[in-house]
Amino acid sequence: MHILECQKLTKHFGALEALSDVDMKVRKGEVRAVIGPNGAGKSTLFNAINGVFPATRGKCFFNGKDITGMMMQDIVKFGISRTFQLTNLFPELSVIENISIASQAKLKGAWLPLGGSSVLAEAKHKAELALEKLKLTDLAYLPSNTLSHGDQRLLEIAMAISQDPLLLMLDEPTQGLSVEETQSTVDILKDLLSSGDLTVILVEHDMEVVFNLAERISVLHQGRIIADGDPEEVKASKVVQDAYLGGFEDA
Amino acid sequence: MRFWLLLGTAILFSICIPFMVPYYAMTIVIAALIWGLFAMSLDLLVGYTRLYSFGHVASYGLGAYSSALLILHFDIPVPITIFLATGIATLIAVPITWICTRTHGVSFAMLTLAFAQLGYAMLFRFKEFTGGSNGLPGITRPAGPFGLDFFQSKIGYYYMVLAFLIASFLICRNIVNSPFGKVLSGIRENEMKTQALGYNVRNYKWFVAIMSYMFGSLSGALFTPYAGFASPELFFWLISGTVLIMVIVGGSGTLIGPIIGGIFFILLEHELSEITQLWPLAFGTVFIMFVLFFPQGIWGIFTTISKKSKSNPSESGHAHS
Ligand SMILES: Nc1ncnc2c1ncn2[C@@H]1O[C@H](COP(=O)(O)OP(=O)(O)OP(=O)(O)O)[C@@H](O)[C@H]1O
Ligand SMILES: [Mg+2]
Repeated sequence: MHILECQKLTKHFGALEALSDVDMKVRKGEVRAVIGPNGAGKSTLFNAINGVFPATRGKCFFNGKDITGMMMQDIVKFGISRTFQLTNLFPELSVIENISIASQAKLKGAWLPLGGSSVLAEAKHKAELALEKLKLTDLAYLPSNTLSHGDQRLLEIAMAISQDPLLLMLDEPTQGLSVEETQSTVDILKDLLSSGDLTVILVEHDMEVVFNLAERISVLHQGRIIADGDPEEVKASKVVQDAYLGGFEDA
Repeated sequence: MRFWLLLGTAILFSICIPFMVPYYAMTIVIAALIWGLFAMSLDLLVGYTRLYSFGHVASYGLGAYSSALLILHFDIPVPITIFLATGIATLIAVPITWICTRTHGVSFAMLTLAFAQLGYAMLFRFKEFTGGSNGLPGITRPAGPFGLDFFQSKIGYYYMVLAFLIASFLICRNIVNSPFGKVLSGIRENEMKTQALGYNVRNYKWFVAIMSYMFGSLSGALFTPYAGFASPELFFWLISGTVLIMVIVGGSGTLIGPIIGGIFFILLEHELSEITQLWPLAFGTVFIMFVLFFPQGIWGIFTTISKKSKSNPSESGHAHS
C-alpha cells in the first residue's frame, strides 16, 4: 500500500513549467529523498503536495484519499506535516510555545476561546516530548529568534514531529549547517526513524546525508522525475550522471 | 496569584473613587473607564493578532447608536439595553468583519476604515432614524430591572460601567490565554506558518475581529446613556486613530496597558484642554515619544521595571529548567 501517490502532478508559474507530469509513489514507512539541481522543482513538488498552492494539473492521493487541491490547513489533518526550506518559525515566541502551537493544531478543542487549559497542557506535554527527541530541551524557554541557525532548523522539525504525522516532509533540513551540525542532525533523524512507522520525504543537497538516510531516491531535473530507485541504482544511473553530476563522490 | 492581588487592589480602589473625588469629576472618570474598555477591545486585534484596524470607531458608533435607539423607542432598563445594543451591533459586525479579515495588512486597515466611513455616511442618509447631523438628544437611563433605580444616578452608572469593564477584561484575558489565543499569537508572528500547521487562520481572524467589535460596541453602548445623546462625532474617523494611539501608548498586547492608556488619555485631555488649546499637539507629541523611545508602552515599561527589580534569582532558575 502506498501512503502517498502523485499522478502526473504539474505546476505552471506563468510560462514556466516547474513540475511536469510527476508520478511518485511512496510506501508507508519509507524514507524517500528527492534530489536535483537548484531550480529543479523540489520545493514546488512539496508545495503542490501539501497545498501551499494548487497544482495546475494532476492528482495526489494520501492513504487512498484524494487530497488534490486541498488547502494546507486541511492537509495537515490527514497526517502530513512539513518543514520549509527557509526557516519558518514564530520568531518572538519561545521554543516551547512554537512547538505547542504546532502540536495543539492536532488536538480536539484547539480552537477553544475560553478555558481549554487541558488542551494547552496536552499541547505542552507533546511539545516537551518533541523537544526531547530533538535534544532541544535546554533551550525550551528561549525566544526562538535567539537560537543558532542549526537549532532553528531542528526546532522546525520538532514542530512537525509534535503533530505525530504519518508523513513528514523535510525541505533541506541540513541547509546552511556546519559539518558537525549536519552530523548531529543526521543522528537525530536516524533516531526518529528507528521506529519505522514514520514515512519521510526529504529534499537534500548533501549527498552524504541522502545516502545515509534514504531508502529510495527520486531525481528531479527541470520539473521531471528522471530517475527513481534505491541509492545504488540512482548512483549508477546514466541519465542522472548526465543531467546532474558534479559527482556524488566528492559531496 | 500576584495578578489577582493587583486586580483586587485596583477594583477596591475603583470602588472607593466616588468617595474620593468631587461629584462633578465623576463625569470624566466614567468617560475614562468607557474609553479604557474601548481601547482594550482594539488590543485584541492590534496587540494579539497584529491586525491594524483603522475603523474601530465603527464598533463604538454602532454600539452608541444601538443603545440610543433602543432607549428612545423601547425604554428598556438600562443594563438590559446595554446587552441588547451590544448584541445588535455585534450582529452587524459579523458580515463586515468577515469581509475585512479576508485581507491583510494595509488592505485590512483601509477596508476597516472604509466600513467605518460607510457607517458615518449612513447616519446622514437615514436622517429620520438617526437624526442626521443633530444626532439623537435626550437619551435617558431607563430604570430597572426589578424596579432598581440605582443605575439612573451618576454614581450608580459609574459602578455599572466599572462592572462591565472588569468583566470584559476578565473575559478577554481568558480569550488571549486560551488555545484560541495561542493561535492568535501564531498568526501575529507568522500567519503563513500558522496556516501550514493546520489552522484555518481566516476563521480565527474573523472570530477575534467579532470579539473585538463586540467589546468596542459595548463601550459605545455604555456611552450614550451616560452622555445623554448620540451624535455623528461618535462615528468620526479620527476616533479610530485616537484609540489606536491609546493602545500603542498604553502597551499593545497586554490588555491592561490599553485600559490604562485609554483612562490616562481621557484624564490628561481633560486636564490639558482646560488650560491649553494645544491638546492635539500634546497628544501627538506624547505619541511620537512613545513610538520612538518606549514602543512597549506604559504597561510595558512598568512590567520591565518590576521584572528587573526581582529578576536575578528567577532568571537563572528559568534558563536551566
Ligand atoms: N511561487 C513561485 N512563483 C514563481 N516561480 C516559482 C515559484 N516557486 C518556484 N518558482 C520557480 O520554479 C522553479 C522551481 O523552483 P523550486 O523552488 O521548486 O526549486 P528547487 O528544486 O526547490 O530548488 P532549490 O534547490 O534551489 O531549492 C524555479 O525556476 C523557481 O524560480
Ligand atoms: Mg527548494
